[in-house]
Amino acid sequence: MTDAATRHHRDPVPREERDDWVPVDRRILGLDRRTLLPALGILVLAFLYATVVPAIDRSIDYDDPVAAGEVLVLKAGVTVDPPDGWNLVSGLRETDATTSGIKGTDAVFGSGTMILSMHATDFSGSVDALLDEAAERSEGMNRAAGMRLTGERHEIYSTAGTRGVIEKFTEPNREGFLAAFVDDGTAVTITAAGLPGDVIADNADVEATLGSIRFERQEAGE
Amino acid sequence: MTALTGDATGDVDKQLQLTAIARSGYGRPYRIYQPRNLAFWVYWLIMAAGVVRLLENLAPGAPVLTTALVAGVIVFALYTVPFWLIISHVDRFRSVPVKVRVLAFLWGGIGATFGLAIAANDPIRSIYTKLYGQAFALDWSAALTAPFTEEIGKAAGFVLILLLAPRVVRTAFDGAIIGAFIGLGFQVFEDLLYAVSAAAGAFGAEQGPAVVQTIVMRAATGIASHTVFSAIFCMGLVWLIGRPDEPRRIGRGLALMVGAMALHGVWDCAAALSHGTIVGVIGVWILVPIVMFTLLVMGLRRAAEPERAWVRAILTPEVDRGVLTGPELAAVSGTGRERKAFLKATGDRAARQRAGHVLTAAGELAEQIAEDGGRETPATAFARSEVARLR
Repeated sequence: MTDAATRHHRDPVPREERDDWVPVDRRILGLDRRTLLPALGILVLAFLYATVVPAIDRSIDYDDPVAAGEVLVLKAGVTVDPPDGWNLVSGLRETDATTSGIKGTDAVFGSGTMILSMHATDFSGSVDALLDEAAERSEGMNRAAGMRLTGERHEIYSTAGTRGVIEKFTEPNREGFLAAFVDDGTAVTITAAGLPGDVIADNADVEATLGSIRFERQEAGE
Repeated sequence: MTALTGDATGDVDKQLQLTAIARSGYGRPYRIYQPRNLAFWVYWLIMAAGVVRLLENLAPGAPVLTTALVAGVIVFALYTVPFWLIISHVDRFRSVPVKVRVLAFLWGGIGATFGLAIAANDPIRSIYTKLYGQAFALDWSAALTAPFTEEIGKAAGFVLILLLAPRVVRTAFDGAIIGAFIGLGFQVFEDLLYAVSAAAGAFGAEQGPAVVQTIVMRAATGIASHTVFSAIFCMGLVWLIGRPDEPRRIGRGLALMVGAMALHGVWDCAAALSHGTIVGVIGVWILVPIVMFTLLVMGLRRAAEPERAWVRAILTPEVDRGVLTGPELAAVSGTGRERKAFLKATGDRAARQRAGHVLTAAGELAEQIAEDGGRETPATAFARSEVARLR
């Protein structure tokens, strides 16, 4: 095949048709002025998404204090009594009615710097195995934050008699604990963290909350 | 006299062919590096932000959620393949170059998902919680957030690609194809994030099943989601803004964009809409795909008209040359239905198969002609000879 025969195929695209060529009189600061407005529009959109929307969220005060006697549902049949006056960040009260029929969800509530997060899940192993895994996972995922578990594990019991285990951890500026309860294939894991002063001050409330975790048997509810 | 008329017709056909090549953008090489185009810098800036946030989301869990991460990456990589092939099959005119497809896919997976949507989704859902309470947010916040943040985020990438490749993105059909690749990227990366989150929330032996369950659920329901939503949305966007060869159709464009967002919203609040009944949820899961695919097919049929006309114009001189017959030209540049009807009419299975090969080779001949700018080259001659060989 001669060069002459293949030359057309190898011809480069004429300069004026190349995607990266912009006529001199169409440039501003070296950039194609036709692309400036729409591309800046997308940049503004990114700014809105990343900065403005979160700022609006932060600017809205949110106060949803727990009233005496209110119960949170973590999962159908799994409940906890949060301390009176603590702020509910997310979670579903027993009295909340969802259109979708969702009966429960993870709960997060706090007081001052103290935050308790609760998550219910299916789990077929022992409570010690659950905390082993929760501890390993939390430490692994929060290594950058400097999380260190103390290694001292204690037994706790809910008022309904369910056995749980608890282990404290420390971070450079906070401290807290991981706890777990397991009852008949259903588990609740709890992470609590706050400034050291708040952890001590809220100790009684937190203990009462852990003690209030209840697993209702499916057949009992039916 | 006859000869003169024939020559004149040939000249006109050749002119129409060259015009079609110029206007369609077929066969045009695409340059990724365009430093004079602000869209180039914005695209990669948001992609970089997306990579950072992707690592923030996945890296902390990586050492302890290895099973989920590895399983998710492998399964969703495999899951991408058939969808990539299906979209490529729909783009039978090959109007969108591979580099542009890859840019679209990456935008969907990293730019739109992690660079844009993820930053806004949680704060907006939090605002709903603060304003309307926990129960309302659980039921409706996803449906009132994602259709806006995600469809707009995905379409932002389409706008950037349009600015980067204006000669390639010419029609609403191009919008649908690029939108589909963006949606596919979004779907795959979002599913990966969900799979890893599911594993993070599960414990013990459940890590594996939790990932599998998420993968199966997302893969099964994903067929209907982001890929098609974005295809419809971006197709509508092209009609809304108009292109040199795609007259503006504001009503049609808006209808498709709003339709895509509405379907996305209905999909996301299926449980609340059906009051938690299984039958209701399944009903929504059946109804949404039906409406969605109807919209997509109706839109594509209209959107493909300019593409079909260009292919017809590019291949008409081949009829004059005797390379293709009139019915073959009509089939290769026709609708899917016309193509099927042509094949069916050719006779037995062997004849149908042969005719199918000829049509495919004719499509490749059109590509080659466009790539060579309508000039006679050895590559075009070879593509032409392939049509003859397969006949």
